[in-house]
Amino acid sequence: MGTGKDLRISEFVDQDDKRSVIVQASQGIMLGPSGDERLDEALEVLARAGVDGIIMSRGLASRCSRIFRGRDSPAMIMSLDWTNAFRGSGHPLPMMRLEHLVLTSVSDALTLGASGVSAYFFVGYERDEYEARNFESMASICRECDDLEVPLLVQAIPVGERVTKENYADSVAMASRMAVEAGSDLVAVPYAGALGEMKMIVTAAKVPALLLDLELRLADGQPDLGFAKAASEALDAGSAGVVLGRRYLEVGNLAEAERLIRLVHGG
Amino acid sequence: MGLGQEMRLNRIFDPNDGRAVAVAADHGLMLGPISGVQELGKTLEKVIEGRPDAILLSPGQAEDLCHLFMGRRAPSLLVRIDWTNAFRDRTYTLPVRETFFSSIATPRDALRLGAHAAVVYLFIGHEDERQEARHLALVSRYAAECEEAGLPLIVEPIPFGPRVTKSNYSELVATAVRIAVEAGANALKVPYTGDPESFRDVVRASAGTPILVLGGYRALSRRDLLDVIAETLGVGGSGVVFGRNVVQASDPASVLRDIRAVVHEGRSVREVVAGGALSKTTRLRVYAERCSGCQVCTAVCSFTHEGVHDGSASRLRIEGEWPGPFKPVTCTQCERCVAACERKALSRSSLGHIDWEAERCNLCGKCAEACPFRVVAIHDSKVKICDLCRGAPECVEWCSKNALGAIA
Amino acid sequence: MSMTGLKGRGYAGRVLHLDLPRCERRCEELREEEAKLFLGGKGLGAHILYRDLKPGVDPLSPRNMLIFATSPLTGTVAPTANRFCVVTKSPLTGTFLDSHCGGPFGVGLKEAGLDALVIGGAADELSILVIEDGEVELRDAHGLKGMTTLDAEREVKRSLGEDCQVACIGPAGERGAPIAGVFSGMRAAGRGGAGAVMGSKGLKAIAARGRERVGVYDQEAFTRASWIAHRMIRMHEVTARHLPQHGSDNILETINETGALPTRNFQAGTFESASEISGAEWRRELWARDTACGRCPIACSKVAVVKDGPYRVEFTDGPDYESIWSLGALCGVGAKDAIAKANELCDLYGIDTISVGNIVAYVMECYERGLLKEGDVDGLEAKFGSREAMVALVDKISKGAGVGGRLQNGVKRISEGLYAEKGDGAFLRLALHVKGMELPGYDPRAAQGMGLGYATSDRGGCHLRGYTAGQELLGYSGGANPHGTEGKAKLVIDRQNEKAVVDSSGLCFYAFFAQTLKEVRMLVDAATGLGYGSSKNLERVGERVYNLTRLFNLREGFTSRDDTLPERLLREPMRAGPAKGLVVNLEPMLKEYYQLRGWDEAGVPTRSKLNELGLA
Repeated sequence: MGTGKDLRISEFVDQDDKRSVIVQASQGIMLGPSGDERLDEALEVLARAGVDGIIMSRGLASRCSRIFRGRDSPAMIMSLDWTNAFRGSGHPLPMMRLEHLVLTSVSDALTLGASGVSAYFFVGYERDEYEARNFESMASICRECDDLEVPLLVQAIPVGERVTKENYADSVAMASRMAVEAGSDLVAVPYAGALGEMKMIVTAAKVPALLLDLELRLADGQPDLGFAKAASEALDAGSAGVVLGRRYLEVGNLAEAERLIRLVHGG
Repeated sequence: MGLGQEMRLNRIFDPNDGRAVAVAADHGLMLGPISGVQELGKTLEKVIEGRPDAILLSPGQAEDLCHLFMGRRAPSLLVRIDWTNAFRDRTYTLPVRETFFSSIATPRDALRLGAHAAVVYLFIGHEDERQEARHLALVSRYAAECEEAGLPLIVEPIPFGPRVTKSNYSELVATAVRIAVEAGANALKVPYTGDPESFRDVVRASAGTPILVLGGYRALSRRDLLDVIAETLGVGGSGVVFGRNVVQASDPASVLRDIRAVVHEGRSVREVVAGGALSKTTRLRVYAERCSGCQVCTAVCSFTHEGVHDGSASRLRIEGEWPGPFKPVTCTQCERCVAACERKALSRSSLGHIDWEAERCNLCGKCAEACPFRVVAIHDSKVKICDLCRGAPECVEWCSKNALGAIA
Repeated sequence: MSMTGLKGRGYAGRVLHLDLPRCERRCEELREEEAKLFLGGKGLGAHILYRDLKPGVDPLSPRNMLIFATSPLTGTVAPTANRFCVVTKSPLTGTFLDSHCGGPFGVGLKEAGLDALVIGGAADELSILVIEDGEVELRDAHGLKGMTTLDAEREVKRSLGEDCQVACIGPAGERGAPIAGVFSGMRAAGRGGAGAVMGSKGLKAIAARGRERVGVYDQEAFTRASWIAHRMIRMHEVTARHLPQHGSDNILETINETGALPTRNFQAGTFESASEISGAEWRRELWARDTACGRCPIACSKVAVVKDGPYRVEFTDGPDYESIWSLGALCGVGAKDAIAKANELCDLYGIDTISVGNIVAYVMECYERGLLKEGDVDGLEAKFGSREAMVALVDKISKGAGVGGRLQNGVKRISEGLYAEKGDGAFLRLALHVKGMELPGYDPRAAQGMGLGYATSDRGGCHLRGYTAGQELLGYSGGANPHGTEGKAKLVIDRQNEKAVVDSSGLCFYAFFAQTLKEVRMLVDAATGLGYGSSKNLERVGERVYNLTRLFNLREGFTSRDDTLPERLLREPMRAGPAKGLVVNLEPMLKEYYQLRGWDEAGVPTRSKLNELGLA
């Protein structure tokens, strides 16, 4: 990693415990408003509680820039891509066919003040072509990130028909390892089962692996566990922190978010 | 200013007060290995203990020392992307004969290093006006590139050249500031014009763009350094960028702590200097070997107390005549005068100095006779006796040789 | 703060006119209009001298006037606010003379209740003038006759009281040597022979003491302005480092490197032993401590001690750059102890070191060229570089002994005398002076602006009036090309005008390294309430004073032909160094100078310029 990347990564990975708590706030661009009406308030609480980074789309980042002021504030991580993967059955336009494309360039993200960028890597498509395209675009993002010294967080997620309960953990491991080999600097992986599975995934990843809060069932094989419990297990397995889902932007869940931050960073 | 520039600027200026305490350590680029920057890593470790908000480095050093900037509590990184030989005067090797400036990195290069701002010079006052035009074109280009890249641009406007005299200097600083702002500076690094009134004009010229005053030559006294900072803050300045005053100090963290106290904690200079000894002095200390016999202390003593300069009204005196040595002789609060007074007109105050009560006094002069140092006098129907200026002794403050010290 | 008149507004409000031998006195109230036009010091002295002195007077006759002038800031807490000046018609040059001094007499005179003391006539016998609280008395001073400056001052203080301040002359002044100065606290009003005028008036010393307090117009504003001025001095490299550490000699090596250090009577611009007489060297070996003039936070003064050897010196002030240069490089001498000794002699006997060094160098060159033989110089082998010859000659000149009796008259008179005797024009060509005043330590072939400064200085060959060396050679204020003539006229005029202000305000030139007229104006306005309001308005005073001294000199018969330089500087190119091949290209600079000054081609201030300045 070059010096710029090191510096920027240190803006959202704590230098003492080498862990990070990031909260996902980019769902709006994918889903529309989703329970985050009092977003500013929620972000304030989370910032005070010590959240390390917030993932946002470019439009939201300009509107919420206040939260990033000062060196003690969370870092801004810009989400680069868009997908309809998270539009479940409850959504007015549920996903029919998985679409995924890149909206913002790394260069633009940097220009807008981002400390890092985030992108999805999905595996398990019915058609191999989609995985290939997704991988291509992720690799190209990696190149640009290296060039501009911007840290990249890839959310490696098994999704779709070919994913089963039996191959879930291996799919996660494969996706995250592929992302790392392409050049990603951190990976976020969904809960893939008991301690052993998580350990395997973390070891295979070789870069900091964060536990991703995946609220929706995106594949049949996706194991179900309360996130707080999953986080605890994942940390024991060696993961470097968590990426909190949009539910933690709801006022009612803020207390638990604070607990999770304390869980990750101790104290 | 774009979002990225705003975000990065907000990592330099504290959002609570809009001010910044920055340290410049890029001297090596312009001047070679001057003292303090030779082992920059070690020096900066000490500097960082004082919690500066940002540190200015050359691109090479930014790369080598990036580990010092890691983590949210670490200082922000400012990177200089230009260079000049202008400051290499006769005290350095190969002093400059013709002034040049040039670009050594682009804003994108700076971003690649993780910088939160780029810093460049803008000189005005060249003998050859083409140089000024060229320099302005260069700075404008930086501003455009910085905006495109989302990196704030900090400009250091400096009047420099034979057309700059001491008489037009302040005016030229204000002029240079305005030009820099209109060329696209997001913040400014500006020399002090010497007094608050002229600096207020400079702040006005900046039209709201934050100004950091720069330290220039190394002040010999902590008091002067802090005084200058406080004055600029008082007329709208937004903080400081000090270089040698911090980097060459024997205890950089201590200097920064004092600066932070004044800039971010709103403390007064007197409270901060010497651990506040200058605001609650109970005794004076004399360092006779430093005294040059200049008598500024006696002049300021009489002027402060009586409003006129009157040698016989000074509460301290200087012993010795040319060729010296000279020695300040002060009240030591030995209380012999108190003991000699039969009417209890003199007493030791709670602050530590000797108090005189006019109503009880009959001007008999016994106190003056009793004083072993001959610093008590009856003059103008008053007893002249040292009151330590009620805890903030002027003589100590005005002595340029530090021959007088204050003990709290 | 006084509501009537100028008293309490920095000024004492009074000028005392004294006519010797009967001490007839006349008190003149200093009026606000005058103060606003001329400020004080040089300006006040020039105003009085021009108004009251008849032209054509012999400077050493009783008809000359001797003025001691202080300024509104003298005695206040403003930094370096100690200056007084002696104003008179110079016996060395016949021009206007203002000679400044940082000794304690100035403050004493102010505290005695006087802005200026104007002395006419002459005492019948050697006397001491005693001024106390505005009262004046002439007392016999036979006991002081022949005493050195140091002893005389000490003796006066011993008999009159330690709290009086003294200005005195040495034996050279008593003899009327035109290079004799006036001394106070071992600081000298050295140049131009003010000491001879004082001696011609039969005054060995003047003692002043008083209870006057120096008040100011606006105490708060004055305190603030003074604090800022002090701080600027503390925070400026030159005044906080170079001058305190290495005295004014801190510049010697740079002047040498720029090829401007006049060596061996201006035959060269670099001295091979310069590093041995640098400030660092003096600090390392001979300087015992730093001292400061009153109210000065810089402390450029040093005390030199030579513990043993043939040039043992118990203590001597400095020496400063000019003294080290003139007794050193100018004579080819690189020995600090010899220089210290010569400096001590000059100070004790009361003569100007610059003039003396030039005289010695002149003799040495004449000797080396065979124009003078050993017999002409009391058997001395007067070669360049000979410390023995240098010290011996200085000793003779100080005491007026042997050939010193003739040499004490300055290079102009010496050279004219030798030419008259021996008929060789070389005697005249080798004498380097302007209007009779010997030249200081900057070779103008290496700094063109200095050449113009010397030529147009109002008291003859002086570096202090148009001091462009700061920019041309030392790189101050952004520097200026030393070898070019373009823009130099303006540079010289600005420096001359500024210096005239500084000389009229009571401040020392060295404070001006750190400050500008802005700070001086703040101090003056706060102290006096005269309401200058801007530095430009204050600069006007300087311009006015400089035009006034020009009028004085014109009235005394000087013309533009006298605004010139010695042949060596105009026609002999520098043989080596950074200024190799250069001479001073005076003519175009001088032409532009007259123009920019608003003077006609003959160098006479035009009617409109005088009207503009209120001098018509």
